[in-house]
Amino acid sequence: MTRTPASATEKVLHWSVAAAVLVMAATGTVMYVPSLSQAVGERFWVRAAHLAAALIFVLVLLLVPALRWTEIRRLERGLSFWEVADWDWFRRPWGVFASRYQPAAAPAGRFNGGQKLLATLAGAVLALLLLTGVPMYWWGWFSGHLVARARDLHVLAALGLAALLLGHVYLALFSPYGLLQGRRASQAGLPTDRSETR
Amino acid sequence: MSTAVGRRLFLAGVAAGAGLVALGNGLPATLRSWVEAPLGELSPSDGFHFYSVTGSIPSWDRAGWRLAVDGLVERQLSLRMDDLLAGGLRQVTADFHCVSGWSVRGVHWQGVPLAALLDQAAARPEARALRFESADGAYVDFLDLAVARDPDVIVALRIGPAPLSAERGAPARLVVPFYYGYKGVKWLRRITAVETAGTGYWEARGYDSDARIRN
Repeated sequence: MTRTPASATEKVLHWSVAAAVLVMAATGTVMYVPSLSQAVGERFWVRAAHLAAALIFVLVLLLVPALRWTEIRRLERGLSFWEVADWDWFRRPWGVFASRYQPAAAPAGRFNGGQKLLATLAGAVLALLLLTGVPMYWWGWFSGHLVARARDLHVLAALGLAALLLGHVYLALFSPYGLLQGRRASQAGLPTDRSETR
Repeated sequence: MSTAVGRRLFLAGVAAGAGLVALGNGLPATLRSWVEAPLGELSPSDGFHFYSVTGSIPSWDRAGWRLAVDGLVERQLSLRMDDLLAGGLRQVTADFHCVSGWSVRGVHWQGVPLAALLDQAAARPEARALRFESADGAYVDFLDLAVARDPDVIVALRIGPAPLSAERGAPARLVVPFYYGYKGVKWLRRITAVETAGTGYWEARGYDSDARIRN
């Protein structure tokens, strides 16, 4: 398979979402972990940064499709439709993480099964974080029980997202299929298969 | 042949989450307690999250600390810790609720009823509200006098059998058991009787002025 570089739209979408998520993760961690809450204090500003990042995230999700609808639609279809080769990726997840995985068949599209699963799960978790954040912010509009359930799910979704992102960063950057290894292999004049399995 | 598995999975996940929030009863809390159990010190061990609007916890020493009661009163008070303890403490047991959705069940507070302090200071008839000031220099909040005279509204000095810890608001904090936690001014140093209630710290930043707990 020939590697298709990400378009400018995809890069803007990926890195603006990544930046917003990193700010939300950092400020959320400060608000959640008691020792960090004590060390940092400044609840208003930490909360304000968390909310500002969420707002930027929503604006990106509205603006990018509005400006590049056809491209985003194609990207969404590329990530949503799973093929036979994708199931092969899922059958050996530990082989992927342990760098023993060799694809039985090259994916027909641009993305492998892992990338599609990450996009789906991260998308669902981020949607849940936004959804549950609504009653946490506008708590006066909802019952206390509903706000409590929303917060419980917000924490669960945040921890799930953290696990997903750790896996993503490992596979995309540090694993033998990742960007750093690929760059080292490229500099050494060796073939690299990261476009197949990252 | 390919199918839109990702799209369906995404929609199913969001629908399941929305269902849990709307109708999940205790399931989200149970799931969270399972997931948080291995986190240890990374999650709050006693259930309380720590909130401060400044960068540090105010320090205090027992010899020099005073709680001021002033404003529209006949007798201004400057109370030492021993003065507060001398009259005996009232125990109030209540669930503590934060507006952001976390709660601590059955917290045992001990403290001095606010009504007793108001009687001691002899609030003037024109006083209609109280202003509470934290030693952090930033946090203030207000209560109507009628609410402040509720017997369960106390200036808490103890939580459980122990004095308040620094992070819970030592040496004294306000406890209003039927209001959300943001009304419970920590590191309390001054109570001022005023004509009308002003705007508290979080209310000035968008919080609902009605802090009564909604179930």
